[in-house]
Formats: sequence, C-alpha cells, structure tokens
Amino acid sequence: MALLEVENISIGYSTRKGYMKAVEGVSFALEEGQSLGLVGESGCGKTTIGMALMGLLPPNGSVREGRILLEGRNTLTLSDEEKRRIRWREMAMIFQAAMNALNPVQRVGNQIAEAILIHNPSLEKDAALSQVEGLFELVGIPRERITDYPHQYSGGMKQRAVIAMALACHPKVIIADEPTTALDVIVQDQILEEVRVLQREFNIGIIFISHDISIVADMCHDIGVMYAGQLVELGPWQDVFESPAHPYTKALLSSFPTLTGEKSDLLPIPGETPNLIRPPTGCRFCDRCREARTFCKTTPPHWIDIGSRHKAFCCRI
Amino acid sequence: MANENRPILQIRNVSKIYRGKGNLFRGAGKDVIALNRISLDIYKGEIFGLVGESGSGKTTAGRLIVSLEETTAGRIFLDSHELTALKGRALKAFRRKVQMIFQDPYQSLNPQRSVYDTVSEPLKIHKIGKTADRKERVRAALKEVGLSPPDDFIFRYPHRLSGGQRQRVAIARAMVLNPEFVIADEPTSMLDASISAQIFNILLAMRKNLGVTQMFITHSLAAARYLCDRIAVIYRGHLMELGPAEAVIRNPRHPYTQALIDAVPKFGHSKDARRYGTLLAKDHEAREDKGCIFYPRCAVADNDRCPRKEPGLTEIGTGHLVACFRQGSGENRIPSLSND
Repeated sequence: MALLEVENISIGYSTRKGYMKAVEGVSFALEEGQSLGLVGESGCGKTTIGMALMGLLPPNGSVREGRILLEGRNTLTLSDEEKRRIRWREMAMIFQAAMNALNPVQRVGNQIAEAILIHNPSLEKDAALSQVEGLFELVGIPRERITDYPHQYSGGMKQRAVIAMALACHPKVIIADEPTTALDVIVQDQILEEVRVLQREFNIGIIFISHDISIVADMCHDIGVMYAGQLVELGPWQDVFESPAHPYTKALLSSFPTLTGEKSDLLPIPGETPNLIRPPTGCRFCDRCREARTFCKTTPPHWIDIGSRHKAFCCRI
Repeated sequence: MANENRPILQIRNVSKIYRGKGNLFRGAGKDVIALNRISLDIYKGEIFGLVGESGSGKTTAGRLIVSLEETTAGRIFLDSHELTALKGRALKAFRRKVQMIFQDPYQSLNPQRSVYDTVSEPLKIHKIGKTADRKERVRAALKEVGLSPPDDFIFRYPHRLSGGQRQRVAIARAMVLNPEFVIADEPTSMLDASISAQIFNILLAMRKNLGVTQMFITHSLAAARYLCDRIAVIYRGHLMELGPAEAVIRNPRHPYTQALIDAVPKFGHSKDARRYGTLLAKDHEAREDKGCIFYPRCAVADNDRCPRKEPGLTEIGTGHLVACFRQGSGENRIPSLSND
C-alpha cells in the first residue's frame, strides 16, 4: 500500500462565470520517503491538488469525485475533527509565500510552539519551545533567533521557519508548494539541500509542486506533468525528462533555457491555455500541439504505457 | 563581437547611494550603497546581460541609465553625450532613444487605457505623426511583438490580455519610438516558461531585425546565456565579473559567479555537475568596510589580502574581466574603463 494515493480526483470552483473544472481525473501514488514532483504552468491545477490534499480548498472549491487515500484511509470522508487531526500531524504543507505564512505580530518561536501545543495539548509550553529549538537547529536557524519577529528574518530564514513549522508534528507527508520561488538561487539551493537531508532523515514523502522543471528534476524521484487541469505524463524523472512522450512535456522542456550542454534555440509554445469553464472535448493541448492530428480535437486522450512506470495521456502515441 | 564595435553606452565609476532616513529616536539612518563605482561599456547592436541576485543593484543600474534616477557619483554617456548634463529638449530627445521594459506587466500597464492608448502615448508625447500615421505605427509595433492580427488587440483593455500578451504590449510601447537602446528589467519573471521563451525570442528578433541594442537585467544565468552576447555579474553593487556569455558561464572565474553556477538546479545532475565549492558554509566575521565585498562568504579567500583591499577588474582573457585577487593580479584597473 502506498503512503498516499490519489485516485481519479476532480476538483472545481464555482465562479461568477460558471463552474471551473480546475482538476480532472488525476491519479498518482506516493511511497514513503519518496518525492513526487507536480510540474506545470500557472492555472494547470497543481496548487489546487495540494490544497485538496490538505483539506484547505477555499469555500467555493470542492472535490467533485475521486479519493485521497492516506495509508488506506479516504481523507475526504473523514469528519472535520478527524481531518484536523491529520492536518499537520500526518500531512503538512510548506506554502508558496513564506512571508505571508507567518503571523507578523507573533514571535516566530511562539508560532511554531503553538502549532505543536495544539496537537499535543498535554505538553508544557517550555517543552514545546525546546522542541522548537531542536527544529531550528534542524533547519539551520541560529537558536537565538527564536524570539525574533518575522520581519527580522531574511527571506531564506522565513522559508526555513516555515519548513520547521511543517516538520513540527513529524508528518509522514509534506506538500511543498513552490517553496523557493521567491528566493535567490544560492538561498534556494541551500533550502533544497536542507529539504533533501530532512526527507532522508525522517523518511518523509514529499509532493513537490513547482513550475520550474529543473528544480523538480533535481528534487524528485517521480514527475507528474500537468496541463490545463489534467495529468498528461507520469513516471520516474529520467524517463519523463530524458525521453518525454507527451508533446506538452517535450514543448515545456524545449522552452526552458539551460546552463549546461549546447546552446539551442528555445521553442516557445504558441497560443494560450484553454478556458476551464468550457474545456475542449478532445485533447486540451491540441490547439498548441505540434504533433496534433484532426482527431485530437474531438477524441479525448487516453493513458498509454511507455515504460514499466512511465505513461502518457495522449491519443497520438 | 563586442570590441570591433563602438560603445553606445559608457558607464564610468557610477555609484548610487540611497541616503537612509533617520528619525528622532534612531538618529541618522544607514546609507545603502546600491551601486559602487561601476564602469562598463555596452556596444552597439549587442544584448548585454546584467545578472545579480535581489538587492544587487541591477534594477538601480537600469533606472540610472534611463534617467529615472540620478547618479550619486560618476558619469553615464549615451552616444558620447553625457546623460547627467541633459536638460529640457535634449533630455526629451534622449528619452526617445532609450526605452525601458518593466518587470511586471500587471502593474506597468494602466488598466483604464486600451492597447492603442498605451502604445500610441509615446508618439503623442513626442508629437510624432498624425492620428492615421500613429495608428499605422501602433499596428506595426503590435505585429512586431507577435500580437497579430493587430486589429484584434488594438482596442482591448489589459484585463482581456494574458500576462504574456500584456508584456508584449509593454514591449510594443517601448518599440514604437524606434529606440536605439532598450533596457529590459526581468521582463519574464512573472511569466511561465513557455511564455518567457516567446518574450526572449521577441527580444532576439528586435536585435536581428531592427538592430536595437539591449540591456537585459535578470537573476537567471540560464536566461542570460540564451539571450546575451556578454554578461556582467554584480553582487551588492559591485561588478564581479564581465565577459562573453559563454566564457562567463562555462569558465567562470570569480568565486561568486562560481557559487551562482553551483546553485543553479541542473536537471537532476546536481551531484555530478561540477561543483566549485566557493561558498562558505558559515560566513566569516564582517569586514570593516574595506576589502572584497564577497570576502565574508568566500571559501577560497586569501585571508591576508582579501579582507583589506578591494580587488579591481583585471582582464584574464579576451574581454573577460574579473575583480578577484586570486585571478590575475587584481591590481590593475582596465585602462579603457578608467576615469575619463
């Protein structure tokens, strides 16, 4: 049994313009101590999946169908009380903008201690604070900064504090949503290394959400590529990035400038992503696809096995 | 390609210091040195990359060049006219020749003005052409940036444009005056990869078709490698390394540039990619305001020299300059870039 299994999940938002199908029929599994990267461009549904996993969808969002199985239990059918217990204790999230995830008028150490106390009401506050000290050491924040306020932290330190908070209750799964997007490359590198070390040490399963394919390639064992609310390719990172099968994955890779290897022309993907209130009936990518045929417009794509664990969602292959 | 050409822009010993505001209780504020004695030349027809992290002063440099801000010290020449001396009509003429593309197209476009209003405004300000003529110029500029057919876009308002389309409108607005020099300040940092590539290719086409010289300001070495002929790396207001793009990326010589390259994710090859290891795990004690600006974080520093004296730029290869005592002598400033 996988640590986390997402089965055929569809998520939507009711908006003024109609019901937006943000995520459609996505399935994947995450094993203990492994990391799965969800990569795609803005609006592809990757953050929506993260929020649904955490049970933190906004009021206008809902899971329309599918199951989220955490060690076999469907988290979608749990009571609010049970959901609360799972959140942070078994599944934690590192949010996109660390600067907004911390309360500006509370000392950083206290905020994290509070999170620990909520989940272990029997603990003394001093004991919780000493746990925070341990966490700070783990993520590389000097101990004396525990009583600082968030504005006294640099961007990288705030991100480390948010990681410490995610680790506070020893979760089995962490969802990291663009954890380093606002950071400079050197700080990003240090934080990513920290995450790798912590993952190995505590055997945490990580869902890594990012628009940056080079980061997920560096961080993740498996990659899921998303486009317009659907998963279009899934597999081990070497398979997905070194022999991509789906035309969107190929296009994404060739629109990305690199530092190594021969310098080659970038091929942008023409056009724009489709409207998800009235998504196309056939393949959602076909209007921008170099390899599209006429039937792609009308025939919905299907999953094709490329390798033992590598598959793509396309009717051309 | 650079040296056989003449410089269109010359920056000489330019510094910019933002005076800190003190208050009643804290006394005098702390000054922030955004740029510290930067000298460089940009040649006609090239795309010059200015690479640095946040707070490095790269945006300040761009704003000084378009005269949105004034230098604290030093001089900037465009086509051998000194910028700081420009006033009135000469300044307006200069503004026509130099244009800027800003980072965030969600903020740089006025939401209450149509694409036509936005793109034609520079023509109005500079009193160029009659209405019909302006409309033609706007159409041509929109076509140039790939918003075609232009009539589909010309009367749209920004809320009906995607991020990539907005940035194209911003580029069209910069291009409508046929400028000689364009500064693009992180033009794709708000955009997705596939859309960024579109913008990069528009900038490349602008150079190829119209010969526009560009300064491309970015935090991404990979983007700079793709677009630029030459790259300058700045760190906390100091110029650390400058050279042909491929030389700086493949054979970086400054420990800071090496640290930057180490830090870039390399498509799952993080372990076997060459590690320079020039970044200290824990910073040295702070320097006493002299010496190399990178010394506190440098793992290969010479503990005698580096904390005491600031290294000057030394040429270590054709057009490849480094400000580091461990590369070349670090002593001789480049004669061609010295104070005029």
